[in-house]
Amino acid sequence: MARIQTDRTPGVAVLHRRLVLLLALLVGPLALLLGPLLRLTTARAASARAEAEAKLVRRTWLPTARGRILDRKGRVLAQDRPSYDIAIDYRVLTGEWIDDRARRFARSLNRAQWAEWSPDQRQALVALVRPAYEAHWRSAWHELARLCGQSVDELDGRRRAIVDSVRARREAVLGARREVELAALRERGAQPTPEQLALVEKRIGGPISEEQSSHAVVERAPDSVALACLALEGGETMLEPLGGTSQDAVRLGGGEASRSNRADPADTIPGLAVRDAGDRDYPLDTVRVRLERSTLPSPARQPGAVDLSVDGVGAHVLGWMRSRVFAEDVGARAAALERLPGLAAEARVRTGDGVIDRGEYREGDRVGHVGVEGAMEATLRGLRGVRSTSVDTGEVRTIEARVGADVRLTLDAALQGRVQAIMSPDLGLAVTQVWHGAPNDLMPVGTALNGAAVVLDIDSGELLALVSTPALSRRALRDQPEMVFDDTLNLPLMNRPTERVYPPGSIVKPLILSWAAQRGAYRPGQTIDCTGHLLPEHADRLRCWIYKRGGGTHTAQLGHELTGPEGIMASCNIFFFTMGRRLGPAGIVEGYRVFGVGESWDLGAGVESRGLLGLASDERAAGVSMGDAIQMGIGQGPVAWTPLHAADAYATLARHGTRVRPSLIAGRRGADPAPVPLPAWAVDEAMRGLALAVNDSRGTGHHLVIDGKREPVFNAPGVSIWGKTGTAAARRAVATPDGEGPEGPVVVDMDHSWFVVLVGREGDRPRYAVSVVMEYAGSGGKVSGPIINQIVHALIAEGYL
Amino acid sequence: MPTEMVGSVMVERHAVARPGGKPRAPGKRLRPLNVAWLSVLAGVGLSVVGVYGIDVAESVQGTGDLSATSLKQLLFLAIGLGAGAVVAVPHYRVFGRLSWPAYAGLVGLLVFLLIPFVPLWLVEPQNGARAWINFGSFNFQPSELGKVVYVAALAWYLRFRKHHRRFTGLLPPAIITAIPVGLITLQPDLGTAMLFVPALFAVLLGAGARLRHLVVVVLLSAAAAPAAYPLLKPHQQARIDGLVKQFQGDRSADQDINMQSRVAQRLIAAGGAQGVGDAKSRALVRYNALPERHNDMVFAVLVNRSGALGGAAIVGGLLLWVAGALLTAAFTRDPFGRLLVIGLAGIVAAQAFVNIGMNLGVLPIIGVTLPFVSYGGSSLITTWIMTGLVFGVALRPPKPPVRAAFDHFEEDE
Repeated sequence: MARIQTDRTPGVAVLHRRLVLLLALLVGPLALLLGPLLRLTTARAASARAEAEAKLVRRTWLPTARGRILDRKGRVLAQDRPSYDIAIDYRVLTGEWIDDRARRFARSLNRAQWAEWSPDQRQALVALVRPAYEAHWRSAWHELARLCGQSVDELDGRRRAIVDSVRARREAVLGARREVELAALRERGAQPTPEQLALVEKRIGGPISEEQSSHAVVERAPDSVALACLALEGGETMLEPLGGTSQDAVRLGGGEASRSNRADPADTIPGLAVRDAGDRDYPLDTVRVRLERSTLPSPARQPGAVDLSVDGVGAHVLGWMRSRVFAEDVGARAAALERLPGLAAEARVRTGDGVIDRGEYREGDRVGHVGVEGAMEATLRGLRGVRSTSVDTGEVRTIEARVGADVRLTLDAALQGRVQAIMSPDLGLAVTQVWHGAPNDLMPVGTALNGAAVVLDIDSGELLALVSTPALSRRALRDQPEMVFDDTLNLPLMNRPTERVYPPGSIVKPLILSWAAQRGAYRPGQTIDCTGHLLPEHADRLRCWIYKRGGGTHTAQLGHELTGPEGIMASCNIFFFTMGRRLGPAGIVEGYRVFGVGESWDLGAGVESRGLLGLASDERAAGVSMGDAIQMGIGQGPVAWTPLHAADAYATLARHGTRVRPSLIAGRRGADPAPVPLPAWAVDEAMRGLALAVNDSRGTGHHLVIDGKREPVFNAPGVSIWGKTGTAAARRAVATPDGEGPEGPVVVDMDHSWFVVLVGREGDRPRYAVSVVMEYAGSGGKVSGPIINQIVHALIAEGYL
Repeated sequence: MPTEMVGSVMVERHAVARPGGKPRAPGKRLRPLNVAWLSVLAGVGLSVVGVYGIDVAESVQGTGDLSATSLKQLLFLAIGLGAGAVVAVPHYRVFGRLSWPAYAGLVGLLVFLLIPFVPLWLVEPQNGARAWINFGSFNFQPSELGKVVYVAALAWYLRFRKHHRRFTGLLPPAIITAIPVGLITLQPDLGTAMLFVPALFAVLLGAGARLRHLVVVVLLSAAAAPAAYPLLKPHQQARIDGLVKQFQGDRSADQDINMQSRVAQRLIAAGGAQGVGDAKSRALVRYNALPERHNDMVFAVLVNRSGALGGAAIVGGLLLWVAGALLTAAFTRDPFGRLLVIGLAGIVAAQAFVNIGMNLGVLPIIGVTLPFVSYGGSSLITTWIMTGLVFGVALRPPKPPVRAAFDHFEEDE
C-alpha cells in the first residue's frame, strides 16, 4: 500500500534537512574558494602585478665606454678604443634553433598528449611545423649578411668555421673528460664493462660552454653596422607555423581549443647579440726617451744623446684588462657599490621585476685586472643605457648610457718614462758594471739588475713616478704569457716600489738619529766613539764596515769621535749600533712604526706591502730582542720596507716630522697619519748629515772610484741634494725546483743597493724625495748613485727643478 | 474519472479545485514565475561575462568589434538558449522515460569513440583525447551531453527505490556510474569523468542513502586515492607533482609543468581588488602567455580584468545557479524531478569548483571548463540544456497524491 505523502509527513522535513546539507556540500567548497582568491588578490597583488607587467617590457641595452686613466698633466694613459662584435648564438649557427623552436611549438599545441606520443609521432608533427622556422632562419641570415655588408657565402663560411672549431673543441673537451672518468674507473681495478663505458659516455656528453654561448660572426664591425644590428636586436617577427599547412596539421594542432596559440613570436634575427669588443688602448705604453749620456759615469759616458725605446711605461701601475669575468668580480662590484652610494644610485634602475645594475657584468665584458684598472674597476666601468619598450602602449623609455669616470693619476708619464729608461739595461746603469766593485761569477759584468724607483713630492705626498724593473711588456703578456708568469726569478709582474720589501740597511740612519733624539737616547752635542766593533770582547761581530774592510775606525779616520751628522756622513755602524742599544727593542720598534713601517696607504693601484717589523706584530716590542734592536739601528735584523716607505719616511723627515699620506690618484687621499714628534735640532742634524753624505768627500754618497780616480756621483746643476746610501745585507736567493726539497744552487748572493735623496732647487728646501733600490747589486753609492743622479737630471728636464 | 498508474498502484486523478477559480485540467498547472529563474538569470549573466572574457583573452586591440571566437560563443549561446527552451517544453517525465535508451546510446557512442580503427575524419583526437565526433561543420562531444543523460538515468533509476538505503544497495548506482566514467577515462578525459562522482553522491544524498554509508565510501576512496597515483598517466602524475611542489614553495618546475598554474595565479593576483583596465588586461594576458586562456583559464582572465570583485561575482553567479537548482528541488515533490535537478546541480558545482580551484592553484591542472563562461559549444549548449531541465522541473510542480519516494521515519541523520 503506497503511502500518501503530504506536507505534514516527517519525511519531508528530513528531505529538506538533506537539501540543506546538499546546499552546504555543493556551495561550501565553491564559497571557500573565495579565500584563496582574496589571498592572491591582496597579499600578492603588488608583486604579481609587477611580475606580469615586466613581461610587457622589452629591454635593450645600449653600449657604453670605460673611463680613461690620465696622468697628472692630463695625458691619456689608458682609453677605450670602441668596436663591436656581431655575435650569434651557437644553436642558431648550427641550425639547431630551427628544430628547437619547431619542437617547442609542436609541443605547445598538444601538451597533454605529447608525453604519450612515440618519438615518431612527435617527429611527424615537428616536421610539419618546421618549414616556417627554417624559412625564417634563412631569411634572417640573408638580412644579417646584407646589414654587415657581406655576401651570404662569406658569412656562411665564417659560420661553418665557427661550428667546426667548436666541434673540434668539443671533441677535445670530451676526450679530456673521458680520460678523467676512465682513469677513475681504472683506478678501481678491473676492466670497465660496456655498461660502465656507456654510462661514462652519457656523463661526459653534456654541452661545453662554447655550445651554450654566442660567437662573433663579424668582429670589430664598423659603427654603422653595429648600430643597424642594435636596432634589430630584440625585435620580433610573428611566425605562422601552421599557416597554409594541411588539414592534418590543423587538426593535429588542436582545433578550436588552441587557436590562440597559432602564432609564435620569434626574434627578427634569432640569437643576435651586439657585443662590445673594444680594446683598451695604452697610448703611452711604449715611448722613446732621449737621454743625455754626458752625465753618466765615465765608463758609460758618451757625447750626445741616445734614444731609448721603453716598453710598458707605468704598466705595473696601470694594470690591464682580462676578458673572463669571475664570481669574485661580481662580488667586488657589489662591495664597491656599497662603498660608493653615489655610483650605486646612478647605476641601479628599477624595472618591473626588480632592480638591475646598469654596470653589471654581461657576456663578453672585460674586467680590469691588477693595478689601477683593477682597483678602480667600479669607477672606470661605464653604465650601459637601457631602452625599455612597452609592447602594449608602444612607449619607449630610454636611459642614456654613461661613460665611466676618468681616473687621474698623480704620476707624470714623461718622468715615469725617463726614469724607466734610466733603469733600463740599455743605458748601462742597471747592469753589473766594473765600477760597482763586486762583479762575481754569479753576476758577471752586463747582467741586468732589477730594482725600483720612487719619486715623491714632499709637500703634497703625490707620487710623480713609480717604476719597477724589469719592465712589463704588454706585448709579451699577450703573446708569451708563460714567459711572464713563470719567471719566478725576475718576477716581472711584481710592482716592486709598493709590493716588495727589502731590509733598509744604512738608509734608516738619519731617521734613527732623529728618533733617538726624540727619545732622549741622543742629546745635542753628543759624540760616539767608533771602535770598529761594538762589543769590546768580540772583534768578529757587530762591526763597522770600515773595520771589516781594513781594521780601521771612523774615529781614527776623522780624528775625533763622531757627531750625529758625521755618523750619517760616514754611515758609521758603531754609532747606530749604539743608538739601537740605547733605544732598546720597544724604542726602536716604535721608531720604525712612527715612520710608517707597518702601514699601507690604499693608493688604489693594487697590492701594497705594509713592510715587516719584528717577529710578533701585536706586541709592543714586536718580539724584538736587544740583539735585534742593535741590528735594527743600522737597518738590518727583523725589519724590511718597500721603496715607497723609504721615500715617504725621508719626506717626513724633510717635513720635520709632519706626515702626509702618499697618494697616487688625484683627489683620493685618506687622512694623514699622526705626525712624528721630532726635535728641531735633531732634524737639523739629520739633514746636515745627509748633506754631508753627498757633498762632503768623506761622505759615502759623494763619489765613485773609477780606475783609481774619483768621480762625483752627482753632477746636476742648480740643485741642492741631501742623500744617503745603503748597502743592505740580503739573504741569498737559491733555486729550489721542488719548493720544499734540499736547497739548490745559489742564484744570487749580494747586498741590495739603496740610495735615497731629498732634492730641491739650489738654496731652496727639499721638494722631492727619491728612493732607488737595486736588488742584489752591491754597493748603494756605486750602483744606485748614478741612477739617482740621472733621475735628478730627469726632474730638471721635466721642469720640476 | 481518469486514472493513472503510479508504480504498481492505480490512482485516481482528481481535479483540483481552487477557491474562486475555474477547475483546471489536471496536470496542466504551470508555474511560470518560479525559483529556477534564479538559475536562468545567473546563467545569462555568466554567459555574457564569458563572451567578454573570451574577447579579452583573444584580441589585444579590444576596440570595436568582438573577436571571431567571441562571436562564435554568442552563437553557441543563442543555440543554447534555444535548446534550453526546447527542453523545458515537454514534461520532464519524458526525459526520464527516454533516459535509459539514451544511456545505452551514450555507452555505445563512448565505446565507438574508443574503437582504434575508426577513421580520423570521423573521430579526430583533440589535445590528445579521443572525445569528439566530427560531423562536418561542427564537432560533437558525447561526454558533455552524456553528463545529462547519466544524471537522468540515475535519477530515473533511483526515484522510487529504497534498497540503496542498504550498503549493498549502493552497488547498482555505482555500476551505472562506473561504466561511462570508465569509458570517458579511457579517452582519456579524466577531468570530465571526475565530475560524475560528485553528481552520484549528490543524487544518492538526495535519494536517501544513509549518510553513514556515504561517509564510509568517501573515507575509503580517500584512503585508496594514493594507490591510484601509479595508475595515472605520466602527464597527470606530473601535474600532481607540480602542485605538490607549488605547495612546498619549490619553484623549480615553474617554467614547465607549473607554468600554466603560475601564470594564472600571477594574472589573478595582478588583478588586485578591482582589476586592471581593459587594454592593460588584454596586454597582460597576451604577453604573459597564459595557455588555454579562453576556455580552461578564462577565470584568470576575468579576475585579472575585474579583480577580486569580478571573481567573487562569478563565484556568486555560479552559487546562484546552484541555489536555484536546489531550491527547485526543495519545491518539487516529484522524486525524479528532484533527483534530476540535484544531480545537475552536483555536476555544475563540481565543475565550477574544479575549474576555479585549478585557476587559483589550489588544484592541479585538470582539463574542465567553467560552466557558462568558458568557450566551447558543447559545454555551453549542454549547460543550457541543464538549465532548461531545471526550469522545466520548476515549471511543473506535481500535485498530490504522489507516491513517497522514500520514507525513513527512523532518525538516522
